[in-house]
Amino acid sequence: MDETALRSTHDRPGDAPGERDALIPEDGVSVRKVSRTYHSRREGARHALDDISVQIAPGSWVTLLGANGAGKSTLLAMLAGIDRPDAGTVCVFGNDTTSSEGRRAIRKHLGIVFQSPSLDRLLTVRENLVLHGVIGGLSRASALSRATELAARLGFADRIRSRVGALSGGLMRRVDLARAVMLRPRLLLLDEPSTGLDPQARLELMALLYDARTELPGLIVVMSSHLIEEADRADRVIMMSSGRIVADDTPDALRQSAGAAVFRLQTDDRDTAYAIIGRDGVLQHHADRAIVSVQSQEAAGIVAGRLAAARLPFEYGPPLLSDVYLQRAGGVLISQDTA
Amino acid sequence: MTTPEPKMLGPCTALLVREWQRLMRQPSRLIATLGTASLLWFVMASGLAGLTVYGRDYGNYLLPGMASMVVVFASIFGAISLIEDRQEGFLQGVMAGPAPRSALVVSKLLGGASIACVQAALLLAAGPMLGLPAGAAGYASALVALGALGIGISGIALALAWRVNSIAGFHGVMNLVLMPMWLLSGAIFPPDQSAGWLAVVQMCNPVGWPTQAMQGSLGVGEPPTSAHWIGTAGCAAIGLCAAWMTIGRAGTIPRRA
Repeated sequence: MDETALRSTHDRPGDAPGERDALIPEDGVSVRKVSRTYHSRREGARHALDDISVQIAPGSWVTLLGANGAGKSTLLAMLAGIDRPDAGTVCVFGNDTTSSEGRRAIRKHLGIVFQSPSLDRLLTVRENLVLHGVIGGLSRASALSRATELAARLGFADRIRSRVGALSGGLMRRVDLARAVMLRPRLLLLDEPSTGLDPQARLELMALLYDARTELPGLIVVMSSHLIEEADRADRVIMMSSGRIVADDTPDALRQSAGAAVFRLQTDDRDTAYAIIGRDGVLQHHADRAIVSVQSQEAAGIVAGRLAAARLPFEYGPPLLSDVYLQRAGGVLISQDTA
Repeated sequence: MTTPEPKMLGPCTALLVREWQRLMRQPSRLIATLGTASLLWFVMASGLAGLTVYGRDYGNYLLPGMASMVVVFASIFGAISLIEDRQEGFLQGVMAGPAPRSALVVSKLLGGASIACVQAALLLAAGPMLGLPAGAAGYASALVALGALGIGISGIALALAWRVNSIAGFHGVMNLVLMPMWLLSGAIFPPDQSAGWLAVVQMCNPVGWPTQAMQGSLGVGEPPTSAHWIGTAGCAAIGLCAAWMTIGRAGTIPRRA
């Protein structure tokens, strides 16, 4: 999707073209034409980000959705000032993260949950939270009070004296989330925060993340994920593939863009599938998976009849974000049931 | 509500306390460091019981050298904790936070050095029982040399650990760089009896100056000269510079193993 389309999708009614973008850099996030290439002897040059542009307004929850290697973590690293772009600019709350002053300025407004918890496993939960509070600028008394408050809010008050190394994966994630919001950030970056958690723990973590927004009004949440269920809660989903943005809209709008309904097939015989469907549906194929999107119930009836006649097994239903991803990126995303 | 800008002292103290908390919760670190040095001293002092150096028996001569070994070992453990912090994700949480980068450098350096010095001082506390001919002033000078050695070796070890991705890899670096520095410091044989090329290497060795200053202060070597103290200060300066140039000025978080 080009930058104009991206802007027009998210402009609020009444905004003059470009007016909202002009406001975003001061209180939001602006990524403009950012590229980043990694070089290694084994793999050569790999384009982690390729001419990416994104604007995020205050109070938004944005999910970066994509398969492994899509560039999600690199984009998060750019927003955090951990990595620097080869080209383009990244502005967070009006601070350019490519300058050391800019990075220093945004760090006090930033909370990050990495793929693995940033906790000291030898320290207790309370010691970890107080430590991160104090090194972030809180007094010891304020850090203690904030740690106690967060432990109650996130449901681990009874384990506050336990060593982090003794906690379950789900509980450790909650503590890590508490660490990330200790300093009441304005921007919360979450890099696949549910990695390694079972489906129940994932749901609980997502619910807690949702709660964090009520405590911190105006908080911008940018979360990367490869799980479609996690993207469903977001205000906006940015789909990425091979370092590029392939779709950017609300989850509902993205699903609607995929057609009235879809048929999901498991076949690696692309030619036969094309021949069966003809012009009544649009087929997208990746490895042994294919989806056929149809624009009306009438077309759905015709395609269903043809697939049944050809004895090709299929699933039928409304479009999911994974269908949109397959359409736009030609890749497969997974559901948390299979993760 | 806005969190105030973190100053240097608060984060630095908090991270320094953490280094000590980690040590107390890993008693094996303490046992390994002090146990190895004590055992090595006992074996070598017994095996070379007839040898005299600077008019003292070899066991006396060896004790300050073992203290410097404790500093080297403890600094190595401190540096390994940096690799662990990186592998476990703790480091990226700190470095992405608002604390000044200098707080991380200073706390790691002072944490490693203070832990190393306290352990070495515990070993030196056996000196009066073993007949080490030094008074309170001598011990005080030796502690100053120990402090400088701790900062120097911790800084060098941290700078090396910053560039190494795995603990196994760091052991290789340790064997190649840090252990030879200790062996050539005069800890186990007097430097003034070395062959020509070795004497030059020893003079360039930052571990040698504080070790010899410590030996001299405790009466088992040449009395320390101003050259020894300049060399000792130089050792600490090298450690500080090495740590600052690598960790303090690093723009990005090093990649994990």
